[in-house]
Amino acid sequence: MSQELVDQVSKYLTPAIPIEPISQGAEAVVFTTTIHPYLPTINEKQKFIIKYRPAKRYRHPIIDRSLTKHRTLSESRLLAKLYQIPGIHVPKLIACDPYNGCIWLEFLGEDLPDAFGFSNLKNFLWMHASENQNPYGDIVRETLFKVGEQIGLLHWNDYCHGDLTSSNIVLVKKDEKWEPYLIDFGLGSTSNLVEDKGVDLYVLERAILSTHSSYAEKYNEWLIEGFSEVYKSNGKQGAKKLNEVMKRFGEVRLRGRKRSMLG
Amino acid sequence: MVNLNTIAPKNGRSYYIALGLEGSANKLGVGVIKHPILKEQEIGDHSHDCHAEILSNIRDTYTTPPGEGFLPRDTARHHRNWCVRLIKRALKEAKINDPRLDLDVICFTKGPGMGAPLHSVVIAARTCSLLWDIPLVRVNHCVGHIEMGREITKAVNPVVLYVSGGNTQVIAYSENRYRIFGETLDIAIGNCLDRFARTLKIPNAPSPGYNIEQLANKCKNKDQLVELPYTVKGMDLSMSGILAYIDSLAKDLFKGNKKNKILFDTKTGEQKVTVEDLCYSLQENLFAMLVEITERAMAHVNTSQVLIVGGVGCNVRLQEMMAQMCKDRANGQVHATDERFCIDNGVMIAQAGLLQYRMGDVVKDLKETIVTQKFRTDEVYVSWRE
Amino acid sequence: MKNGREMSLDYVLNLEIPFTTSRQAQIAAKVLVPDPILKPQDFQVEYLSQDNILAVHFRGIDDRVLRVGVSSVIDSIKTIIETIDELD
Repeated sequence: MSQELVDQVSKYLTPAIPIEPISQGAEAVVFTTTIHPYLPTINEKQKFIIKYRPAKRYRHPIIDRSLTKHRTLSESRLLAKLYQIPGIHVPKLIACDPYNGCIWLEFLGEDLPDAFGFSNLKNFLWMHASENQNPYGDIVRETLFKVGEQIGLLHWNDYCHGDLTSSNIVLVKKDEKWEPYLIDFGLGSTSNLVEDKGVDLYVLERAILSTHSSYAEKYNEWLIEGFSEVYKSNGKQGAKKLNEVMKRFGEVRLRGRKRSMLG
Repeated sequence: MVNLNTIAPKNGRSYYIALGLEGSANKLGVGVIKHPILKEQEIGDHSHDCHAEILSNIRDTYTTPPGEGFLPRDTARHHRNWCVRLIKRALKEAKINDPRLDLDVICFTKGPGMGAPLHSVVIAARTCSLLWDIPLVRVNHCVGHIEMGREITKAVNPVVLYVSGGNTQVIAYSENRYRIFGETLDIAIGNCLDRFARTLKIPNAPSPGYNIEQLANKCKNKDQLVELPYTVKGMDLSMSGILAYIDSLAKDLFKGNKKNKILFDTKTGEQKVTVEDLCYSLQENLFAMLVEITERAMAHVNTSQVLIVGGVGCNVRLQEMMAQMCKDRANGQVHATDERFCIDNGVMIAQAGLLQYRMGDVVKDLKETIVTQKFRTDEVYVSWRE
Repeated sequence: MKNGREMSLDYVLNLEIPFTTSRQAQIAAKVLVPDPILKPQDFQVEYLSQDNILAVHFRGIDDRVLRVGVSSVIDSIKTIIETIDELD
């Protein structure tokens, strides 16, 4: 991340809010901070996420301002709605400044033992694929099943994530078990189209295949088990809808993410 | 490991010579290219640095009057009329006296593109191949653009933005395929610009896109924009809605429809927006979308190089915006070529085709030379890269 | 297929084009053969080279289809002849 960018964010947030960069995507940069935007500090160890959409100098300022505002708002709205749906796990929205492209979120996850890094699904699976670990252990199976359930709930409520990868799923430890949380809804949307859901599942399957190739088959099977469970628990209509989504998922898999089209 | 030197050049020469024929849209291109045999190409991926020498690069564009697009039938007729003449000129300029002895391979565009024009060129390609007893190589038009761009700019492994009249794709190489990361869900960017130009009767020569660029440069109030839909969908984009909208504005402007509040002051009837303003706003909007999806692909594959190819890639404003994005993003670089190579040409077909030939990919049965309108970039097995 | 009955290709045209050599006639046939006919149930073409003659046999379901098909093949033959004339 360029120093210029960090300086830009620091200037906007003022020196009262110290920031620690953690990742840079195409559209946004993500920082952690220890300061809550409007509540007093309760303990020194508290952490929050700041997602910042920097101005893009390549595009016309009018386009840039309108996009930044629009996207920050729509991501915040989506998160706020999802947070209220029982069973769905997403980070809590704390604050949103659409004009400056800034969102504050609750910090989730922890560091895995033995330097396996932050507790997203990717690092979790890598940890269990390492020496003296069982890549097919109960804990892995259970966790992937729950991830499937999260995506199932999302789709059942007609939302799509748009960019499902194993690093966009954060695991939070509760009573020695891992609870998956979906993060980064930058490409998320409300959608009742089976196409969008099929593509969502396909993107995740590809992501698992490319980052956890040796165990991907079983892993994807467990994910789908969890996914199906949500639909099946909704009776006849659920089973019917599940059928439609899985059918389209199969079609998307055959043709790839892209529709075939004229050159 | 890739070895580009397995097939020996004809007659014990120390170089290969390929003829390339392109006619997938309204440009007919014939080019001759020469590759020396290089020692380093035996031991790995040097496909971006073939020391290619362009012996000739001739093009003839079928230009229609302002307000008209090119139709497949008429374009095919143009190509038939000029094809043999262009081949003769290209060979002469390249000082190929006897193609039977001097050419290693004839490369032609198999697709994608318009069926009839593609077909009219392949007929000539097949005839030459049989007459001179020289093997044929079928080339994917998009791969042709990519390989020519890599050879000219020496970009090793860039994210490729391919923008032309028929295509809009963001491409990155991985495991022997040029994979499509993002693309248009409906019409191509060039098509969008061409059709907008038609409504405003902007001339088609040298190209509608070039004329739009010149008009946009003349825009007097660049701090204002006519607001247009911005339709990036994840890694993909859509342009048909933008075209429909700006086209309706263009029609109102052309007809002087004073009821249009965006274009005219409803009280005084004074014109608020000029043709130049529309061109400027359209470019700013479309190019911002292109740069955005390119940046997404760069973040995905973690590279800082971009290569822009295809006819719209000549646009200086697009190159500028891309350069700014690359600079802001970890000091990256943008690579682009000028109109000789950006716009469809025969040399690019020869370049990609010769790489294929050197890896042993030749047509064994003329049945394989049937042209196809649909031919996705990721269908090609890229044997010449690691 | 029309009314469930096979339509017969009753409209027929035979063309014979003389080339300078039998090799040229052979080349012409080889160049033309590969391309598929879009609607084989409506229109069919056969190419044969005998000595220096290229014989083309067209069959179509009506005059119009026959005309369109013949004209496109003739276009291709013109390109082949020009290529042979100029580049052989």
